[in-house]
Amino acid sequence: MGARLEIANLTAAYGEFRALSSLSLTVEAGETLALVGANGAGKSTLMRVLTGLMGGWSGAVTVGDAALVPGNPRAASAQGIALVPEGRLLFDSLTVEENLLIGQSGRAGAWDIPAILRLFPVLAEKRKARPSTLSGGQQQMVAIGRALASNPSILLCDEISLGLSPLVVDEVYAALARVRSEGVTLVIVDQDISRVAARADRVACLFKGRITHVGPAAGVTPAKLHDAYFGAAA
Amino acid sequence: MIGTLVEILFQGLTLGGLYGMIGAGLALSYGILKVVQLAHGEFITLGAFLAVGAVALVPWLPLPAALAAAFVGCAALGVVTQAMAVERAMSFRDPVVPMLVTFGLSIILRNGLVETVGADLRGLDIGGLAQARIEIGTLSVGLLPLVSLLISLAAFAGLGTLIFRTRLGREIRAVSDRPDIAAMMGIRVTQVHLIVAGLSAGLAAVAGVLLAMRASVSPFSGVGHLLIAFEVVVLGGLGSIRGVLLAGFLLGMTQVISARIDPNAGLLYVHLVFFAALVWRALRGGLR
Repeated sequence: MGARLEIANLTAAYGEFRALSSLSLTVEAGETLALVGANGAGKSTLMRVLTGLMGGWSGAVTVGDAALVPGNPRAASAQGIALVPEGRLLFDSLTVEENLLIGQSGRAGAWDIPAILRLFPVLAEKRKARPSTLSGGQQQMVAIGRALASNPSILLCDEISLGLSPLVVDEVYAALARVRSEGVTLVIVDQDISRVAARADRVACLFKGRITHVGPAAGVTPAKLHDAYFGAAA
Repeated sequence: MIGTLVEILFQGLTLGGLYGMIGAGLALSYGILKVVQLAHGEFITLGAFLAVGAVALVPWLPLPAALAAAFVGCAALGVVTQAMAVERAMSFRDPVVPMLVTFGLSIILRNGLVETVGADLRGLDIGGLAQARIEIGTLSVGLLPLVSLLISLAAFAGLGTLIFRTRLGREIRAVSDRPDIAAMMGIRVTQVHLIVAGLSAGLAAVAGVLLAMRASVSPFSGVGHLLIAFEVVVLGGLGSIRGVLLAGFLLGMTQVISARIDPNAGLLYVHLVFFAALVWRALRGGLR
C-alpha cells in the first residue's frame, strides 16, 4: 500500500549551489503527483534526497510516519521508497531476470517476479538477456520492474518518457496506471507536461529549487503552467 | 612423439592453471572493486609462507588443511586491510589513490615477511606427493602437477559458481556495475567490498600454496608474481574470470613449449606472447 510523503523546508546544496531551497510538499498516500520543471529546477536533486543518494540536506522528510534517514539509500529502500532513475541505470552485468531479482528487498507485497512479468510480458522472453541488448522501452520496463520488485510504498519515476517513442510511452504509462491501482504513491517526473498531468491527481512545478505551483492536475496545460515553469510567478 | 606432446600439453595446462590462479585475485579486485591491487604479489607470497608455517608447526597437516589455513589467513588480512585503508582510498575519485595505498601495503607486507621469516627461500614440504606418479593408460603423470591443476580448476569453478550462480554473486556484480544504485536496492556495498577483498586475497593465497608446492618462494617473490598476474588479467580481458583462466593456459603453454626450444629463455617468450597479444588487440582497435 502507498505511504504519505511529507517534505518540509527541505534545503539541499551542492557546495555553493543551492539546488533546493525551503521546499515543502506533501503527497498523500496512494496519490499520483506529476512533478514538472525545467532542467536544473531541482527535480533530480529531490529524487536523490528522497532515495538517500544525497545527504547533507536540512529540513524534514517523513515517509508514512517515520522520518527519512538522510544520505542512506539502504534505509530509504527499507522505508519503502524506490526509484526508476533517469537513464534507467540498469545493472548490465546482470541478466534482465537478475535485475528484477536484485530489486527484491524482502518487503512483502503484490509485486513478485511473475506479477512483474505479467505487467511487462515482453520481458518474459528476454529474461536471460543483458539489458544493453534491449530497446529503450524494454530497458525502462526493466527499470520499473526492478523498482517494483521491492514492493515500494512510494515509487519515484525520474524522466519516465525520456528518449522513448510515443507508443512505448503509452505502454509505460499504462503499466504505471496498474501500479497506481494497487495503491502505491507515485511521483512522476516528465518533460511532457500535458502527458503527465493527464495521468496524475495533482501537478507540482519546480523552479530554481522552489515549488512555484501545486494544484489539481485536471486541465493543466503547459500554457497554464507557463509562469510557474519559467519563474514569473516566483 | 604422442607421449611427448601429451606431456607438454599436461605441463602447459598445469602451469597455466597456476598462472590463472595468480591472476584470479587481481582480476576480482580490478574487475569488481576497480582497485589495482599492487599488494597482490605479496598476498600470494604470504599465502605460501602461511602454508609453509602451518606445515612446519604441524608436520602431519594434510595439504587441504594447509591450503585452508593459507586461504583463511590471507582472506582475513585482505578484509582487514580493505576495511582500514583501501575502502577509504576508494572514496576518492582518483584511482591513483587506492593504487598508492596498495603499493604502500605491499611494502609493509614484504618487509613484515622479511622481518618474521627471514629472506631465505622456502618451499612447501609435501612429503611423498612430490615424487609420486600415477598411470593413466600408457601415460605416467606426476601426482603433484595433477593435484595442482585440479586445485586450480576447482578454484575457478567455485569462483565462477559464486559470481554467476548465487545471490551474493549477483550483489557483487551489481555493486561492481553501479554501487549507488545497488545501495538503493538495499545491498550493503561496503560489506560486499570487504567480501571481495577477502576473496581476492584468499585466491592469492591458493596461488601461493600452489607455487610453494612446486618451487621455493622468498618474501621478495611478490613483484614477479604481480607481473604475471597483470599479464594474465590484461590478456584475459580485465575482470573476466574465464578469460583469466584461458590467458593463464596460453601463457603457461607458451612457457612450457619455449622451455623445450630454448631452456635458458625463462619468461622471455611469455612476455613476448603477452606483448604480441596486446599489439594484435591494439591493431584491431581493442585497446582503449
